Amino acid sequence: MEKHSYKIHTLACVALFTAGNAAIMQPFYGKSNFLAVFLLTALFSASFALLSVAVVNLAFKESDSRFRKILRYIIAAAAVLAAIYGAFSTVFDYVTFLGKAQLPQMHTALIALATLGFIVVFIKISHTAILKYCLFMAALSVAVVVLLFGVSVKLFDFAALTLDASLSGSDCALSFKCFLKYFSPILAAVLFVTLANGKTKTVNIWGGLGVGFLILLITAVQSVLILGNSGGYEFSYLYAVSVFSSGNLFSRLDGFVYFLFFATVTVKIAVCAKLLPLIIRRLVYAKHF
Amino acid sequence: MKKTAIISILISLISLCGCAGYREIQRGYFVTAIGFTKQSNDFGIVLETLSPSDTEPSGEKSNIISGSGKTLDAAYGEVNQSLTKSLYFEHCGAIVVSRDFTESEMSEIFDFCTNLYTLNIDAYVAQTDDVTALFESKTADESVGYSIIGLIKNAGNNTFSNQLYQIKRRDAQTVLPTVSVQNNTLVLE
Repeated sequence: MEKHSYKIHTLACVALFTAGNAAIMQPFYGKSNFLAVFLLTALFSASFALLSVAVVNLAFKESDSRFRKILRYIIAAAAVLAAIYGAFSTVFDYVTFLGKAQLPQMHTALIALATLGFIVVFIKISHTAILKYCLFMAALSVAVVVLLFGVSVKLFDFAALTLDASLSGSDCALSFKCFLKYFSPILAAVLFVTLANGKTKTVNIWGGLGVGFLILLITAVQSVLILGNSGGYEFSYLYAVSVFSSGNLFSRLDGFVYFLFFATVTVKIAVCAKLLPLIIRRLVYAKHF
Repeated sequence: MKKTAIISILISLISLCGCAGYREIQRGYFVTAIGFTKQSNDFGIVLETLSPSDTEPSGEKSNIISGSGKTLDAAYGEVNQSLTKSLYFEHCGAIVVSRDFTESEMSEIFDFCTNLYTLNIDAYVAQTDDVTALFESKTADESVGYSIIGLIKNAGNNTFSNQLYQIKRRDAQTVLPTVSVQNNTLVLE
């Protein structure tokens, strides 16, 4: 039976997982040296991803060694915690966004219920279906981000973009806090793709991480160039896109932003939700776990 | 069969787009302009709204709704308390502020407008001496708000750079265009 290669799916999965709820909350917007903070956060995340891949591959290599077995359980426990945290924080941020901006007249309980429904669906479908979903959504998401950036160029105020490379102690602490809040669950994504594909290559994870951070960079830069960098917008990217209009036909392109947020959030939730049954199945059924 | 099902679902998803943001027009007031006044130490909010006319089947009527309070939130709360219908800001394209606000009060007003999520931040901002008198004046358009937008757009998009998001991204005090009523005609300076 032909074994499918899911390299590009892995890249897409990690890309949207990385963008996740950070695309909604735009943690780098509103700081004068946001580029420096962004790069430092990306560095923390890349280092953590490298460590995660090395440890996960070491733990899940086919072997009966006692050390590997103990390591597998430790990594599985850490990944489950990361997945639970990742899923809950993403759901919380997304429900907040829906309640305030996209669906303000719908009761929060209904929104939460619908989100719960998604989680149940993602737990039940196969991991290959999730990978294919990731690829489909990632292609469209990147196209949306590039399109929205391109059409908004005429609105840019380049004077608002200051290249401040200074980093104070508090900026470093802020970068680390951003990494912990939004990007530490990458361990869950690494374990997910490892269990789905058998082994994970660092280049695929870093590629996905790079695309994810590129999405965040484009959205943050667009927000700054249109809205300035003084802050004051809770969902800055949504506001930045809502300003664009061209004639009477093309205005309020908020729908594209809603799609982007839906894509990044559902991928992050799907991976976090699917990880737990995947680990349990391997614990119960796999010969060498 | 599976491909047919997926394609059918995708096509039906596209047709659902029209349901988003659905509003019954009888159930709310469509705000066409929002104004801010200073009353002693209080903030005043004045809304020009359009709603379906009770007398003309396809007509609309303009209403002026106002409220005041120690803070902008208090003033807005007083406005909402006096209403039985919802306020819809999606059609609000004009923000008019009274001339006697300080720079910090103006900043507070702009932040308040930004936090009205359904008010688009590309709304035009202008100033005037008497907001209530301006909103109550009779213009060719049913709505003074739409008339103000027309005046500003006719002057050229880049003449004033006075859309809300443009004002917020500039740290310095912005010179706003002034709208006044002269011989029942709106004049932009």
